[in-house]
Amino acid sequence: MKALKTTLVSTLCGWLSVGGLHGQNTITPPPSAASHLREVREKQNTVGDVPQTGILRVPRAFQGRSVLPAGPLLFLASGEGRGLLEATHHPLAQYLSRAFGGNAEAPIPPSPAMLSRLAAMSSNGRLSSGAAAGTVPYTASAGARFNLEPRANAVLYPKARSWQTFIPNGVAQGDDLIVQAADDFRGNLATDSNWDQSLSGYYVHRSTTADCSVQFEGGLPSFQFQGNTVMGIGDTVVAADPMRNAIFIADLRFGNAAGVGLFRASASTLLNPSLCPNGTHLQAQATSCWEVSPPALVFGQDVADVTGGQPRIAVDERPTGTGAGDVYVVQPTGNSQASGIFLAACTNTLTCSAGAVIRGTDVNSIFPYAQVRPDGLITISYTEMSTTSSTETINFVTCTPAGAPNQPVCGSPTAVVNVAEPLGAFLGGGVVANEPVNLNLGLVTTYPKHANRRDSTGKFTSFLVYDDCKHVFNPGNGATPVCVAAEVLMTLSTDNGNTWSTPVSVDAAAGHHFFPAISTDASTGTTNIVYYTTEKDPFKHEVSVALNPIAAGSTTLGAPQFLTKSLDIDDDPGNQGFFLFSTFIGAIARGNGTPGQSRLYTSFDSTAVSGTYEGRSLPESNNHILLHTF
Amino acid sequence: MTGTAPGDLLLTNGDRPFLPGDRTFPKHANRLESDGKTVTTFIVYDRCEVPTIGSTLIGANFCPKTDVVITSSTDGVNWSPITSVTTSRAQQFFGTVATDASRETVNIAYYSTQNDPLQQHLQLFLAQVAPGSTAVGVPHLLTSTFADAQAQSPILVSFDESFGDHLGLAAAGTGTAGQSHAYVSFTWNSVQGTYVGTTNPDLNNHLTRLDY
Repeated sequence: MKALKTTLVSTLCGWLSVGGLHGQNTITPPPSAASHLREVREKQNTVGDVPQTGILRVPRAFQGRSVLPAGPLLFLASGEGRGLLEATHHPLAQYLSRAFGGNAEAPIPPSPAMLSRLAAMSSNGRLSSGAAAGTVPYTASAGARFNLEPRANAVLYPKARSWQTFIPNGVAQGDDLIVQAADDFRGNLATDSNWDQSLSGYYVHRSTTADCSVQFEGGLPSFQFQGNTVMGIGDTVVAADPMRNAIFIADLRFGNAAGVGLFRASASTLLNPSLCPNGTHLQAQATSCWEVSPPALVFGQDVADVTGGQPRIAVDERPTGTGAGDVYVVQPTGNSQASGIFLAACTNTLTCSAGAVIRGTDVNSIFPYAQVRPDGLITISYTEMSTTSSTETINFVTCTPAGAPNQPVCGSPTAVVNVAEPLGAFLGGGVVANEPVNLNLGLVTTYPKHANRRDSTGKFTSFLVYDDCKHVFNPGNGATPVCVAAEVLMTLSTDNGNTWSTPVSVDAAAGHHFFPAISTDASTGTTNIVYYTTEKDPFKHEVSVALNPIAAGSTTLGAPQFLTKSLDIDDDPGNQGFFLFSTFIGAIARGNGTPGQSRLYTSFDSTAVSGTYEGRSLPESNNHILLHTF
Repeated sequence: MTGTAPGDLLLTNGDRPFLPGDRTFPKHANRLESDGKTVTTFIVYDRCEVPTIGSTLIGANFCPKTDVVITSSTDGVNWSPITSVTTSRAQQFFGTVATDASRETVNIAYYSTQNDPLQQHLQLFLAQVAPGSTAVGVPHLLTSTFADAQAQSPILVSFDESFGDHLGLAAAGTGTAGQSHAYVSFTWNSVQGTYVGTTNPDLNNHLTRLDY
């Protein structure tokens, strides 16, 4: 039963909810989609006589397995996924039979309407050939859309789950080199005349105008691993090494092999218009831009024996010392030999260790999140699900660098906190409880993150944030409990994670608070906690991005402040709530030590910018970015 | 009792189809004209103003622009060209119609998201067709506040109840101007409920009235 939670979470962390997971509040005009989704849900989300909020249908290839993979792999194993890929003549379709063998599901072709839509999307004129025109302010009340997709017939599915990093003054003094990564559905649906059929989106600002414009974008390219082509299927994350002027991006890979793709591009490459031309990249441009340094397949394995969740990466940005410049990759994964949270260490030029399971983790361990302390110690938090209840435990472990590609040496995990009412709690039978009401997202689930701060004493304070359900409402009559108030909590440790403080709420205002992100600006010692809040909306539906900083030297939360106006994050055209599965927002802060010159970039999803469909304007989901200086 | 064979309104008018797969719910009302003999029938329904777009792998289409349209006939066979009740932006839906016989006024109620940039928050409108005319007048806004169709009562979330699929409308009067009333019943969630001590939107049946 526990594995199903892994599946459930993974599914919504990835590509497409095969079974139509989310079960609430998809009623919105126009009514056509609403009623259809209701019918689908009624068919799929009924346990006995009691409708439930969410049920996952596990593809046959993974039924009965103790370890289940991320959403992209579940999608590939499904009949719907296979049908779509075959209909679009997607290269991934050729690998499905081998990957899933006799358990491959029969293809379920898309509807005629969908096929018609695909044809429209593959028509000419949808490829951006240049950079965003004009000045795009960083600090608009909705942030700035951070992609180049043309607005006419914008892809219905979102560019979502974005994460960004930057190299301060990487373009020019006062102008940062910004790279954002996100899952981009253009990789699923468009033909190669518009996109390179990679779901692993990247978006880069390198303009000498210090704004939030995007100069080029694309999907991370396919590459060869032991003679096999592996393609990006999303779950894309990014990190920077400002000391060495390098950007690293990781994603999930699939083909005749599977694993985590890890790319490195130097700042000079990203600034080079010959290697990385303006506009939307196809495979050739993506390759020239991201494969100057050969990419690595971390945790590479036979595709027929694969499981894996979203990876995370962290870079040791120190100039010197054991592990300096190393890149660490963590992923919940496994195969027939082992499973748990895997950790690999790669050199700055991507020579990687084979990876090893962190002691104490197993199939119930999810959501690993890695950071590197300013002294080089690797810190990893993750969630351990109970085998007997819906509760979860957040764990923390430290690992000592050994100098990649040598494997770091990890200690034993310690419990940070037991979460009695996690968001997206698994009740068994595939049913998910504690979903925040009125958030029409694929899944809102507890996902801890942490940041480390070097204090003036030379010691370190680790701050960990997570979300849970503050008030659970049980409708009775066998219906699934829901969350009427989600909250973000913070706890801290001053002894290398051995003991943790009593968690405190980051924002006590009424409404939902969820998707916390945290980043410490090492230059000033300010720790920034960013999250979504519905405080401004009495309907608890629209969200604002909020910030609560912790001052240098302090462990006390500040006063919450809004970074954006109210935004809709769940209203993609056609009411695609089923397919919106943001599970986090991104935050990264850096500075030069001078107050007022530090920068916090936040990445999040928003429908503030509309697309046009049949000439009519409609909100459409995009990856956004926002700058806050402090 | 005698009647006519059912006519195919869609084909007759050559219009785009009803919202595919949806519960588009045409309603009609009859008005006895001043000659005492002619009866004009008005049909109101929701449609997709533009071609629908295939959007999901599960087969649903979506409509980038819904509107409420009206057509009329004095013989039930021949129908006037379909026209929109309003030319406003965004989504109009759940159109319904009722005649106030005392004043030969046709009332048309509907939801619209035209005043929300994100086209999600609803308001209630009522338009009228004057006596002797088949043209729709300027709509009246009946609700100063908004409802959010994405927000539900926690107790209904699991059962996926919603804003339903129609509005209720009744109109009557004395024949004297200012003494006619059009009552509209509708689903609304601006009044909060309390759940485990936490306020949250709650779906309720509401009623409003336009005097004319």
